[in-house]
Amino acid sequence: MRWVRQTLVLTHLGFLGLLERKWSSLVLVGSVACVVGVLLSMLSVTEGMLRAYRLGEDPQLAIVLGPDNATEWGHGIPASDIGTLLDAPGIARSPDGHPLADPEVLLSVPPAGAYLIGGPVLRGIGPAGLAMHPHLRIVEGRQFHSGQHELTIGMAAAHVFQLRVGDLIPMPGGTWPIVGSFTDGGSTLESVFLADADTVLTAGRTTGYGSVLVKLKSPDAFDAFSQWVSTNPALKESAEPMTGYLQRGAHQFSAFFTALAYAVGSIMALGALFGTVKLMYAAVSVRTREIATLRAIGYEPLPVALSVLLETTTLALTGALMGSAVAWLLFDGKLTTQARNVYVLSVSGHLIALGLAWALALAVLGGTPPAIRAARGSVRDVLAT
Amino acid sequence: MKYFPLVWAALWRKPAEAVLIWLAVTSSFTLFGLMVGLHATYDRLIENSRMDRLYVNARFGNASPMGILMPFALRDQIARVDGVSAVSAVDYLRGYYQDPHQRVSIYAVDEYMREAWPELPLTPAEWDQLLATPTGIFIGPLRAATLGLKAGDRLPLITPSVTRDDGAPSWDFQVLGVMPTMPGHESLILGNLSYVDKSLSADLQGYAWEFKLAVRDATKANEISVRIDQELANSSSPTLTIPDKVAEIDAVNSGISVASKTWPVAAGGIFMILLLTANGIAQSVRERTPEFAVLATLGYPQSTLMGLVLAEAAIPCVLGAGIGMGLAILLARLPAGYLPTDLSSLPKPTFSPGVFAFSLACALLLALVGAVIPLQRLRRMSVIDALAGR
Repeated sequence: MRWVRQTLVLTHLGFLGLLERKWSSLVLVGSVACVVGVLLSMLSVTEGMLRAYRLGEDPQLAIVLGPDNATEWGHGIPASDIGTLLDAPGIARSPDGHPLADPEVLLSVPPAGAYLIGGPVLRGIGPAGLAMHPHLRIVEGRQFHSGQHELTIGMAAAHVFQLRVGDLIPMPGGTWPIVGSFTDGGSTLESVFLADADTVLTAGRTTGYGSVLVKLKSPDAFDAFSQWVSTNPALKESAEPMTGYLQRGAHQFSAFFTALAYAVGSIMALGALFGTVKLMYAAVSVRTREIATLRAIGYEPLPVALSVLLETTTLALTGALMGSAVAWLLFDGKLTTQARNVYVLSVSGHLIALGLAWALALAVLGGTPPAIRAARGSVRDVLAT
Repeated sequence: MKYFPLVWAALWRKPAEAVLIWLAVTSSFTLFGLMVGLHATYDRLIENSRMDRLYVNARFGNASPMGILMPFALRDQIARVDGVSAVSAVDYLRGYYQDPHQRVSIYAVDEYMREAWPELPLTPAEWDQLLATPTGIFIGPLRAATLGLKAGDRLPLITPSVTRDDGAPSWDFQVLGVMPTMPGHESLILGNLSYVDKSLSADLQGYAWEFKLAVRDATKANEISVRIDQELANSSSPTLTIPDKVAEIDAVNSGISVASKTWPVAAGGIFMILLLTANGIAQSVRERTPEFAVLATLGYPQSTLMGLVLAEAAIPCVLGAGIGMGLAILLARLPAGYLPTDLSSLPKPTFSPGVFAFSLACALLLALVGAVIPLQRLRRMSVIDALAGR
């Protein structure tokens, strides 16, 4: 109990001295703020991306992909297979009795203006598909009609690529008008054009769909469903839980950048670590006489060391909060286009906790050597000088 | 030079703190060097790409199952567009060599490529040799090194997605030579379009994967690309024409754009070091005020005292910058196997003299800015107070 009280007294004294050492304390706060600010700014990209992917996660959804195809891009699922697929066990039904399975196709549709390479992807989707996106809301105009040469656009894509309802989009065999815009609760669907899958297929002179999105009666139904698809001699397709498919896609785009953020953060943190050790050594050396006096009247080495660590930790955590605040102000909620999708950058609570954890690690690693030096100082030597 | 012992003594006044500051500066400059070098790489990629070289892709490239919809006949149609000086058809033969993970692609070109992309590093004699040898290929230096191939070697290519008309399981290419370095295209393999096309199964023959073209006036490139696309918009194969430079800028800025992050990160690192150095110098000057007062009393002019402080600030900065840059170069040279696999797609940073000069200038500026406040204090120093220890 005694050393707890001693630690508190010593820490209190340390904090009283902070004003005296305000510049070096601010430097420590600033250094940690730089590290955490840079780390969180970079991670906000992948955090936003992963969040958008997670929004599409639903354990009841499964995706059927064509043979030799790991993504929805492609045409490996012939239209003639769809009827067979609908017989698979475990597919949920809409209130009006239609099976919730939606053959879809992706098409790259660069907007007019040849040198603008960036543009939304077109997702051909059917009535069952629309029913499987319960958050989908038309914001302006109307939904596309089946069989019509027209499309709708997600709000994020409309915003980033400056496309409006009424604009004409070059398509195979002529231009299609944008007849409406929609939101979908922030999911990646907001980054694309939507149009009727069968109409897209015909216009693109394409023979097959890229994927079939299936809603199962329950998550447990997946195994039987997948087994049925892969063993059916008439089908070459394979099924995958939507959650796993989305995670695979998200990882493909985010892994590189996450690794880069951590690499950059680590080198910066190393610099800040040396800085922290230096600053706390200086802080301890200024307080040599004070600490020696307290030691002489019975304060033990452990509380001395702990108080130095507590001070370092407080300063580092303050820095981390400042860095997080800057990253949040600059980036949270901003739109970015990455790999043809639009994402909302996110400095989430989870990221801020990560920044605090880095700061804590920095403080403990950087504060320990000065803490040990403070605790070890010979009382007699110091007071004799 | 006669002040050197003075500066040296000042630096080593507190050895532990001096070494720690220097380590902090060094690690930050390692990061700074990597970021500036990376930025230089992106700049060089854009700089080396040309506005007067364009390429034409199928606009709806993924619409048909084959992924290609551009018959060779489009070549003449594009060549007739005003301002176009040469058009070459290209096929892109994708496969692997020895191991399915060792992917190799052949950029198969026709004789018009000599004019359409004259920057390709082949001599006229080599062009003649390539066009006269159906199975001949010229291979980029980086690709030659990774595959361990040299002139005279054979490259059997296995193409799982494409079948040959004669049913042969692989393509037997013959390495005619290794090309000299061409920035951004070190892994290119040039082959013969006519041979590749005629060897394909009949249903795949007659289509180009890309057209490469040269225009006479680089400033008209955007205009010409729009004109080509407009002209073919209602044909059976709409196109997407893009100048090389525009594509390069887009490639650098798209995906998760690393290029746009290099400056903020570098600035973050430098700012952190600025805080640390400024603090270190201020502390040193504060603690040594009596020393400076003694020097002033002995008649040292104020400019000399300031010079001493500046030198004391500059030495760790410049030393840290130099060694940090050295570490950055070593890190950049690490073989890919030692890097996290997720980072393997990061391009190699460029360490040109300009990058070095920039880092050195930043180190000096850092020392200067860091010393501003201590210098102010020194200028206002009252010798009598300082000597009295007040």
